[in-house]
Amino acid sequence: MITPRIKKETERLSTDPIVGIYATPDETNFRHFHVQISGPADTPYNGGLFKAELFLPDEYPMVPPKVLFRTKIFHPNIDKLGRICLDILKKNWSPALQIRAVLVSIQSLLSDANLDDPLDEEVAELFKTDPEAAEEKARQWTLDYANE
Amino acid sequence: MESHGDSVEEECEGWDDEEYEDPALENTPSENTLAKIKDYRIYTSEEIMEKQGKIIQNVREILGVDEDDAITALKHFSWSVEQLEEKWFSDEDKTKYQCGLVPDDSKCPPPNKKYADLCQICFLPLKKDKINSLKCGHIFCRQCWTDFFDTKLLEGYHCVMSKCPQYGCPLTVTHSIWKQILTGKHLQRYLKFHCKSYTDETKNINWCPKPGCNFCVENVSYVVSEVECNCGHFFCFKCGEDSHRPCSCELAKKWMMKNKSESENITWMIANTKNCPKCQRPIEKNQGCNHMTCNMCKHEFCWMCMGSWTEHGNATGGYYKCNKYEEMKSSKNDLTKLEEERDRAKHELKKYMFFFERYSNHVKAGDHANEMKPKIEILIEKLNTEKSYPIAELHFLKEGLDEVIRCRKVLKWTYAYGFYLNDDKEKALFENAQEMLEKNADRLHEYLEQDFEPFLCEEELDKKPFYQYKSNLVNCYKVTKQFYTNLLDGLERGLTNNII
Repeated sequence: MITPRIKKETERLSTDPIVGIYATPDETNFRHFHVQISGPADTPYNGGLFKAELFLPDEYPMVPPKVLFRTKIFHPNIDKLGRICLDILKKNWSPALQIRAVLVSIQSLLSDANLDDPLDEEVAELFKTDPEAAEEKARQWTLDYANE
Repeated sequence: MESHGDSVEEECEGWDDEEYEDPALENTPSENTLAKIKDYRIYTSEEIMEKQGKIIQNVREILGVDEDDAITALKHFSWSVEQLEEKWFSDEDKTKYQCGLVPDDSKCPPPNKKYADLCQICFLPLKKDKINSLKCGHIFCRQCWTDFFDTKLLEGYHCVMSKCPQYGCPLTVTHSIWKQILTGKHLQRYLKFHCKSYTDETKNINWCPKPGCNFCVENVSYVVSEVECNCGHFFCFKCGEDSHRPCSCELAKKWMMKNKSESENITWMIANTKNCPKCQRPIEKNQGCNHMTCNMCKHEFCWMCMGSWTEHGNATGGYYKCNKYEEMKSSKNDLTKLEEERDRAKHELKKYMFFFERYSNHVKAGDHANEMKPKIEILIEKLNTEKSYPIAELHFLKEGLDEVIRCRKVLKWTYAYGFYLNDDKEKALFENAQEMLEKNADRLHEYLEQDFEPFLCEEELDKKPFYQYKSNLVNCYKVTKQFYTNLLDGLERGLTNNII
């Protein structure tokens, strides 16, 4: 049974969408969202469209949604399996936060990587030591994988 | 060492007197060990909560705050009143903020009026039962508070530090809201965590680790590591494991790891197996003949020289007399090394087996002694009802058995201790102390395992044999106790302080 909260959140996502983010519920499972995030301007991800899946566990909103990137992305806080390191998806989750806030945070993570708390050490290391090379690689990956 | 035994026996003279009073074994000359052991206090969970309540009350008075604020602040400072006081009086506003006692409108403003009648979690209109007890004004319905707490309770006792459910709100959820919202089992769970936040953060208070036991122990002086809970469980205050005197926590852990680990299997493999020279699978030689055939690859070789069997024959001194061994050994350095390693491993394993055997022997003997407890109870009952010995005169049986159990426990650990002890002159002292205790504990154990039927026999009217038996046992008890003390005191004062 769909909860009033999930219903409202879903409605609002379609009536009042977030710029650069498309989130549509799965046809068979209202807890499952197919997400597309467009790479923010002035970042190496610009021009790419990144697919992600968002899932609301039964305990939502007492526990955070689970979000996974489906498109390969060269980013220090997102690993090869698409897992995301983001505080509000873990210890800083608050039940008063919503799907919107999560998606907006992920979008801004693309513009503002957190190099101090990397998920992929190697990627973070490259961003620290040779930002130009790292950005070039991120741009290339965006072209190769996020350019449908 | 012997002199102790003698002096004790002297004291015990005349114990076979039928008229003598209750032996009151616990009044044997009090040793340091016993004096040390009493340096802790045991509380029930109610008593510890009372103690906690007093601290809260004390802080309320010092800081002039209400109960909720006192509790929140204490939790923030891990229940250290001194630290809380120091910070509070040096910068009250900052400390209040750090503890989560004041809202922060700049970071997290109260909800705007448009949504003020909706619960910020479930989005349903708030009814009369809306709860707004935190000072920040973030409103959530009762159901959402309940769900929020239920989820937090799964996180363990740190949940008592939970912040307001609003994102970014620095306010700590107050004790009274927890109590207001939760009911039944969940409330009990919270109250337990509330208490645990105090006991777990306080270094000299630990709960008895025995499952289901609700006592906790306050170690007053830190001198003692072994404590006996009111439930009868002996445990080490420092590591929470079963008591392991005279070994240190580290040594005991090392020994247990050694017993558990597979490493001994590996040592055994090295000592008793060789690898097939062709397929490298380990092979145990279980028959006398040196002609080996690998089960897996069917390779035939000689166990002695590891050479192919096809090279064996009359030319090499006969099938069962491999003289190629020495030759191989000297010509191939690798093989010599392997042999050395095998020898070393064999020796190491032998040493371990020696100590482990004796260790587990005392474990088993201790188990037997524990199993005897109900039998001894029945015996005391029978001696009292059927032969009308006063109960007070029969305590010695129970106390003797308790002493055996105590000794077995220490004795088993002396073997772990001995295993890691370096070979030097202090080792001899230790081994002597160990031997004396072992001998006497065995004797005491034997006394308690003897056949009691003759004393219970109906025709037997003479009580003398029983009092003779009692006198023997009590003497043995005293001597054993003395050696027990000698050993522990000796070791714990660092007499043999030469562990690898």
